Amino acid sequence: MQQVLKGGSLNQEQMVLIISAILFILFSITLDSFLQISNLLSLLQNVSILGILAIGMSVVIIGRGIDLTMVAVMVYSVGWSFSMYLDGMSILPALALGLLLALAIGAFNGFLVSYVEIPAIFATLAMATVISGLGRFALVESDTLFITVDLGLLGTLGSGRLAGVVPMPVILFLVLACIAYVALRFTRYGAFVYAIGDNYTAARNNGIANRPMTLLMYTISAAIAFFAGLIMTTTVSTVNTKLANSTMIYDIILVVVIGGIGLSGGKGSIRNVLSGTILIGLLLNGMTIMNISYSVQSILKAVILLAAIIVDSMLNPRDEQTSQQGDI
Amino acid sequence: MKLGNKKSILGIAAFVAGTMGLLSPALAERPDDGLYDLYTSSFEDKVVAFVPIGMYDLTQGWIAAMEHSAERLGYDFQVRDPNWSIDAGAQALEQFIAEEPDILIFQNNDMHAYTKLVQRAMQAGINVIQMNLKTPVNSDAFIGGDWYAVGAAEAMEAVRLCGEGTSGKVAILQGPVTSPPSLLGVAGIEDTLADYPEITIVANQAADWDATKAHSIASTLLRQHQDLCAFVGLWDNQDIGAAAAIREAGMEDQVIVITEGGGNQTSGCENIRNGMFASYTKVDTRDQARQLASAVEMLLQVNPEPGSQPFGLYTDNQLLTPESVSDTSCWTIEQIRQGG
Repeated sequence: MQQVLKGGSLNQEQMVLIISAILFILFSITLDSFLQISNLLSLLQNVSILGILAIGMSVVIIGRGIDLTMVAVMVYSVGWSFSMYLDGMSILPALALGLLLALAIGAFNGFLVSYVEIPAIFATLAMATVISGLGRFALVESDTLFITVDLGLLGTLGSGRLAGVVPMPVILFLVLACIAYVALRFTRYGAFVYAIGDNYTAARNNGIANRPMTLLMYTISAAIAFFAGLIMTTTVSTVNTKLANSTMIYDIILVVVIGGIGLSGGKGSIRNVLSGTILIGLLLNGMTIMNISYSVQSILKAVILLAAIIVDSMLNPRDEQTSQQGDI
Repeated sequence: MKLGNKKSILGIAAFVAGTMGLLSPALAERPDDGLYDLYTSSFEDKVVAFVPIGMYDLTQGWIAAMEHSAERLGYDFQVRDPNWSIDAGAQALEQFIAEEPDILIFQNNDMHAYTKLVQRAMQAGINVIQMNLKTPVNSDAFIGGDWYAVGAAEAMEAVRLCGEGTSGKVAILQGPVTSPPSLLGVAGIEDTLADYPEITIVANQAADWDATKAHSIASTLLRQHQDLCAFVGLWDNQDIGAAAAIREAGMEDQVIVITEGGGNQTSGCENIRNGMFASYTKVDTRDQARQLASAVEMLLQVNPEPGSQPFGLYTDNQLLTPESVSDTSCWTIEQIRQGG
């Protein structure tokens, strides 16, 4: 299998793009209203929040980590901001406090992983529960917050359209993708992330400050989570903290892995996130148009994730020399 | 001098005796009307436990009424919130069963998940009240929505609002598929619409009680069915997302949202007024909250053998439209907390 996959000149990203293209053509032919600019834009809009979260997640995964707190950070940091806002605080300080909270949680995640040396999957799994518990206990009183006041300019983050056509979330997703692409590809810090993910010890031996870098990665993913939460909130004028208990975090991992970013770290780029996001967007859109039932949709998504992980483990086998306990 | 002193002591004594005499009626027991003493004593040292699904407008409304009632009558009211986790809810129920409260109230997000636990609680001698979402097993009481009827009422609204001049196409947005309002509500919608062939259900998707997911599904369906008449949703909290998608697509004039909800001021009435919801079947949380408090009050006095006399208090549905909504149609948690 590995030989077959590697024998061809295709890598996973190209495979995903080809599958996406096939689906795209198939849907265009078989589904009446699929091939319309408005449908394609709504397709992109519906996955842009997922895509934004996946960008944050991919930074951490490339650095050989994983951040299972992203959804919890997203709903509770933004939820806290808006619950203070609804209690009468003005919007900017409320958002600043929420962002600070997200950054603090991200930094603490990074601290647990890099300084306390708890494997990322356990540290962030435990932290996700801590954040949800603390959030419910002290930060957000209700599961759902309704923002009935007009947020003005801020509201356009989620529900506005550029030139009256392109939904703002899509623009923001693409802008963030560009920033992340440049940061990972062309800056020193980006190179450090790849080096740490590829071989932690070698990176340290080469003088990279592994620990502060790891701390930075988790802080960035938390900041991106806050940003995604803000867009989500302004799209539907609601903060839904129930999401912290949903399977959304797996959807984010699905997008990252399916695009071809290896879970063992050091491989892949933002391009992979884009192709993964597009494939998931196509699938969700097509399945909704075909009115496929919820359970079957879940099964299809799960099968795709499984297939992507199998392909990932074939293409990116665990490196016995650099693997360490707790790696995924 | 000495005499005067004695006199003043006597005077004080007389005064004290006099005031004691004045006070004595208040110190005596209040007249018993035959029931009052029995009534008050039936709440002494009683414990009422509640395991909700999570902490949202409906549960907060019920809890507000229960806390008000517990404070007034003097029983102990405890809440353990599993935060939407069915596992954590089952654990909370197990824990409560071990602690043997006098009444156990719970709300289940999954039709069958807690069935065994209800039976165990009743075997342990605890009176059980099921709140809003019923398991197939009967306990001492069920208080909550008649979800089949809610679905049927919404379907009739679809018939009314998507009649002539429209495509008659509607899309259903349900919650998690195992949740009672989804199972029964969708059945109610489908059974009712079977008699009205002019209305067609073009999609039936689960939005998981999540506004964002409803928004995604709705925005896709709006492109696919450009002549859609209505979204028929099963909870206002979720259907706000569908309304947002319609507004984004600029299709407010053509596509409407028919929904149901507990009648919370912010998610219900304000959205009916601002045109997001064209029709709203209110399953009034305020009524349910009062009924719950009353049922607890009764069960604590009667103290029946658990499960021996099951009774139901199905909520009276009320239709709210932009024309009929009034200032008193909805409630706030604060009002319920104050006994309103």
